[in-house]
Amino acid sequence: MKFVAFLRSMKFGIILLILVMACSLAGSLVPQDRADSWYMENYPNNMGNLVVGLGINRLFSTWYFVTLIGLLSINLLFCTIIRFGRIAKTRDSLISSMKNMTNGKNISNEEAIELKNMFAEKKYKSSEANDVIVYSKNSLGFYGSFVVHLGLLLILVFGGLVLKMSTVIDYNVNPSETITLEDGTLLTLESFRIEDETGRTEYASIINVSTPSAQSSIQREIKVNHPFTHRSHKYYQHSYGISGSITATNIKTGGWDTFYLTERSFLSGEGGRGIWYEALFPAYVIDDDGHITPLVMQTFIYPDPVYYVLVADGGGRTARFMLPGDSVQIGDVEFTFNAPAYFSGIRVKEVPHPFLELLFASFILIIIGFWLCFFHLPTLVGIGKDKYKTAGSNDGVQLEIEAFLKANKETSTQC
Amino acid sequence: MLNILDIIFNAGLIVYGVAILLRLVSSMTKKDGISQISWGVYLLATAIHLAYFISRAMISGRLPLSNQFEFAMSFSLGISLIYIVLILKFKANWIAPYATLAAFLMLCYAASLPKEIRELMPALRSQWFALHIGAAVISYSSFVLSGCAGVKYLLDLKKGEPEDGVHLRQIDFFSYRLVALGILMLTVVILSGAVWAEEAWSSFWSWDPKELWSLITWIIYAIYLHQRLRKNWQGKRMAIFSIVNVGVVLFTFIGVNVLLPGLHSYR
Repeated sequence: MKFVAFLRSMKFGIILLILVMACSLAGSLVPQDRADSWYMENYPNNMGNLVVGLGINRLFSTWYFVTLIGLLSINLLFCTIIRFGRIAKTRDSLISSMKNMTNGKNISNEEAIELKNMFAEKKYKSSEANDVIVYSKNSLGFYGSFVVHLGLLLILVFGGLVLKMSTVIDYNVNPSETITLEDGTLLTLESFRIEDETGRTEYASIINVSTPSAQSSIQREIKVNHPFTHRSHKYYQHSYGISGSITATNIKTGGWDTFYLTERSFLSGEGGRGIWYEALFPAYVIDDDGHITPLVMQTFIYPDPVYYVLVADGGGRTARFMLPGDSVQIGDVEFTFNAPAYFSGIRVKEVPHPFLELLFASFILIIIGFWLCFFHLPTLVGIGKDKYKTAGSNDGVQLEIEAFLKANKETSTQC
Repeated sequence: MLNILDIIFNAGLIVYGVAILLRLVSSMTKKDGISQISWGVYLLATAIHLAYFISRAMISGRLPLSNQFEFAMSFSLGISLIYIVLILKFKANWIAPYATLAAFLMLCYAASLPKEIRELMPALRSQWFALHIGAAVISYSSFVLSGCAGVKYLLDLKKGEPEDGVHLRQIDFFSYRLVALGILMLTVVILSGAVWAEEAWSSFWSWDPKELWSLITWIIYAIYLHQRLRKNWQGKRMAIFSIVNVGVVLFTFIGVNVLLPGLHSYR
């Protein structure tokens, strides 16, 4: 019983909050989710080993952090249940305690009348018993603390479920390319742009989504902050990049295909012959002898792109720089180098309905709870013939009465 | 156009400075007249500050809340506006010197940052932008003013004001109410940020340093409120608590941006 009492106590809740705070502090100071070797290289002495050994590099998925959140949820669950059970009891006992003026503060008859007038003017609800008038306001505020704790509990529960049940996969999609998602949904990138009509930076893709059972497909534009939700999937404009574009044409048959390349690849013509795509550079300089020197820079703007390839045409490989529009023939296949193309990084998230909606509903609940708690303060004032007392969570009303009585006294002294 | 903006900004800064000097003179001479003039000058400074905020918003076509300078400038304006409400609605004149100084210092910090107007980056173009960052301005300003109330409490206590007297209890109560406003708005910040993050990055919580420090700030103030409401901690202990916590708020705003870059690094 003692253990359960401790588990539900505010003291335990505060200890847990301090531990969550300590974990958050450590997690903010140590970069998360990098390769173990990174910590070994960047932390002196054996600190790297310690960070990795204690799991501080993946702190928020460690067993101890998850246990901490679990215990906090249990504590909140008890708090919420207990609070709910106590609300009506607390309110009723406070109201009935107002009717007993034995421990009230002394005032004169005139002051009592003045106070009664003041609260009547402020439109408090009033009831009378045993020569005591009880003024009350904001009784809904008694539920504030309960609603806050319930909201927080639901956020932890639904937040955990959403984090656990969401699956996220990133795809790099080239224009006109179609990819097939795990459930058979077809996702086609119709176009991608990095500027709007006015030249302002804006990353936007026009995508086509076709579910396996659907007769027709749906076309939508996705931008940063404007994802598209369709059934259980949510499509995000996540990133973008640039890829080399090479068209391979079979001279004999006339058949052709365009390849978008971001990493070292081999485009085969016949047998072992073909071209190795090595790299794409954003710009180059050319000297008097016509030699090309590529410029290496971190950019997404390619004003003078140049391809670096190895041509494997029978005996050995020959390094060459190719400009957009250039082509090279190897056997029956002609490789034409096109202007580089932007690809769109599209994130596809499996949305765990209805937990996400319930999570957002919990957000609203906790805000309502805070408002009830702090801005709808339950107030009770009992005024007898020569005594008064206050209750509820509004300390301000006590101060207001004292200031009112003080001001009244000063006015009558001056008179 | 930008030069006019700079002139308005610097004029506001100077007028705030004059208001502080007058406040200092009025505290030393105990003359009500100078205090009244100081209040008038402070209102003028806030009006200029507000004019700067509105002008910048009109020129940029959005609320000026997108980088460190704009947030610091708005933070200072938030302190000024909440302070004016406290004076006008609650007659809390005692907070004047501390609030004036806090608003001025925050504006000085803003003055040290690059002021050019930049295009709003795509990640910030969202309907959540105004609510998320606007609520942060109100929240941080409330916490800073609560710290100001804490300073006033401790100074008056040292001067011999009785701890159970109406004056100190009023200051204590104000400090608590400001924390209540601050934590409500910080909750709005965190939760609107979560909804926004889900729209922008697909995850409502990323364990980013800014998110974590907002959570740390929230937990600290939640502990403050628990101790006050349930354990009846009041007075000196809470005054110290609210002063120390201002350091955490400032670290969440400035320290995290400078020392712990992450998804929220919009300098």
